[in-house]
Amino acid sequence: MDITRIDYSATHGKSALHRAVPSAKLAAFALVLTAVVASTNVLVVTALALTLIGVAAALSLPLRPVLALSAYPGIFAALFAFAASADLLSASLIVAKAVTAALAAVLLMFTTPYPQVFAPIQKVVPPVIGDAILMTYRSLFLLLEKFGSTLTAARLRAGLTGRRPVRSAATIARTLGAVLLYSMDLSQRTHDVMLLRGYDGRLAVTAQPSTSRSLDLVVVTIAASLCTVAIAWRVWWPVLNPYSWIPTLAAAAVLAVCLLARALRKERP
Amino acid sequence: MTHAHTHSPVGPEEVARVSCVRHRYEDGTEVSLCGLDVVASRGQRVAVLGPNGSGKTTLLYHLLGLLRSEEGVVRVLGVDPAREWKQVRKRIGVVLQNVDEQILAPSVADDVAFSPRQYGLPEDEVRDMVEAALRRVGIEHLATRVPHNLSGGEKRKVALAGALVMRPELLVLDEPFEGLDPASRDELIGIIGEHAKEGGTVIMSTHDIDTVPEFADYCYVLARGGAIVLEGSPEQVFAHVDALASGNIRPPLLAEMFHRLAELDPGAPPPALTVNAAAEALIRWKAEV
Repeated sequence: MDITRIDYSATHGKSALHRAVPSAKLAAFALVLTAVVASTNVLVVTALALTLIGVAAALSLPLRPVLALSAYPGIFAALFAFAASADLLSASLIVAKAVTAALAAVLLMFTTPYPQVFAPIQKVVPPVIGDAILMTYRSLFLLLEKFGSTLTAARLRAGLTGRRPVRSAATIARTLGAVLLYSMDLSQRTHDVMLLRGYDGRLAVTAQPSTSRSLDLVVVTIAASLCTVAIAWRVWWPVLNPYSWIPTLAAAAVLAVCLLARALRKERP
Repeated sequence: MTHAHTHSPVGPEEVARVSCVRHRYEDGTEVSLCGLDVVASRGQRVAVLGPNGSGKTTLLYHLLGLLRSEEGVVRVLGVDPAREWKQVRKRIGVVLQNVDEQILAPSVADDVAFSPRQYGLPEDEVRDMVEAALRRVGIEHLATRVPHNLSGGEKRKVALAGALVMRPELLVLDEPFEGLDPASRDELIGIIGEHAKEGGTVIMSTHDIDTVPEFADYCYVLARGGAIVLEGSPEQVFAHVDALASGNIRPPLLAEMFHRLAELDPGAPPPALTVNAAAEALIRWKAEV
């Protein structure tokens, strides 16, 4: 499951971005999103995407799932963009924006444990919503485990067979139903446990302390630079548009260097 | 075995008492924990034994205020836990049967820190408490791990560290030995013993009858339906081999063996319930014979 893979990478990763404080990564994410929203030039958006892929490569993140997860929104955006846009360039811009925004989100999730991503949000939303967001994390894994074990039991009892797809689909649907009922029961038990362990209407979450201020600053600075380039192109587009190939070429060069470094690291015994 | 209720007097060191409580579940199943009062005193290790469906977990849930009794008395540290749980919750540590569902936080250290943080303790103090609890259970090396990647035994130790972190006066454990290998089980028995030596009280339900003489000072035996039919030290309780068998409880192997020995030879030594005690008793008997 992708969710397990993301969680493993986020919690066990040792890269620079993993070590950066979550608030710095969230700020960087917001800056990249601003860049994507502000940009109206497909080459600039492509440059942003290539840079983000370069970052993923440099950090030794698993490229295939990162790219696959980022591509999902692109598929849906393409359906809309090519149906609604007047020209190919506008449609491509919409798709590129969707994929780049998703890339930024996937990078954040691959390098930051879920609770740390949502801890700042928990502080500003009503307790019932904020606590529910945080508690979703553990519950998700309990439910995944339950779904997996029930499905295994069904398979062992010949409830899932490749030769009878309709019957297998029905078994899967029944398993999902059972997991749904289990989740309701689980929520009550989890609430009981929370009360036993001192919960009083608001989860107390402690922010992860910074391990290196300079590292946090580098992360935010890189994101701010990308944002500045995108906004500059948006504001001074009549002057800068003829030179749009420059950021794309620069980002492609960065990506090439990162991929080369990654390949060399892999070869090293 | 009798269903008539016998009240034991309130002692000055009494920590918990359950007296003839009754609970009806949504499906209509009724558990009536009556017959004898279940009482735990300061520094005592109390084991609650009984077959499946006898109401062991129901008894513990009443102590934790998770179930409200329709009749009878439940007192924990001087209050009715179902009504005044907030007054005593800092003084009680809990490990439930399904530890997976008890681990709430994204990392082991965060989970152990859950209660002290909820009580608003300063972060420096929380860190010290977490380190002490992890050290006590012997899982310092797991501090940064995510719970869903741990083994069953490790999860149980994490839950125990979370229960011990506030240094509770009363520790309630529901089937604490389930899923533990022999070495981990011995470690847990050691931790329970240390807790009691420091004045803490432990109440636990268990199916692991053979281990009971190693860790319990006092036992209560529940029959199916909730009747509390036997109480006493492990030696006293396991002397009633026939009564236990009729309640669907298999006595410890050593108790059974000494009981059979006494049937075969009236001069056989009295039951010894630990391996060392049994070996010594048999050697003494051999020398006498």
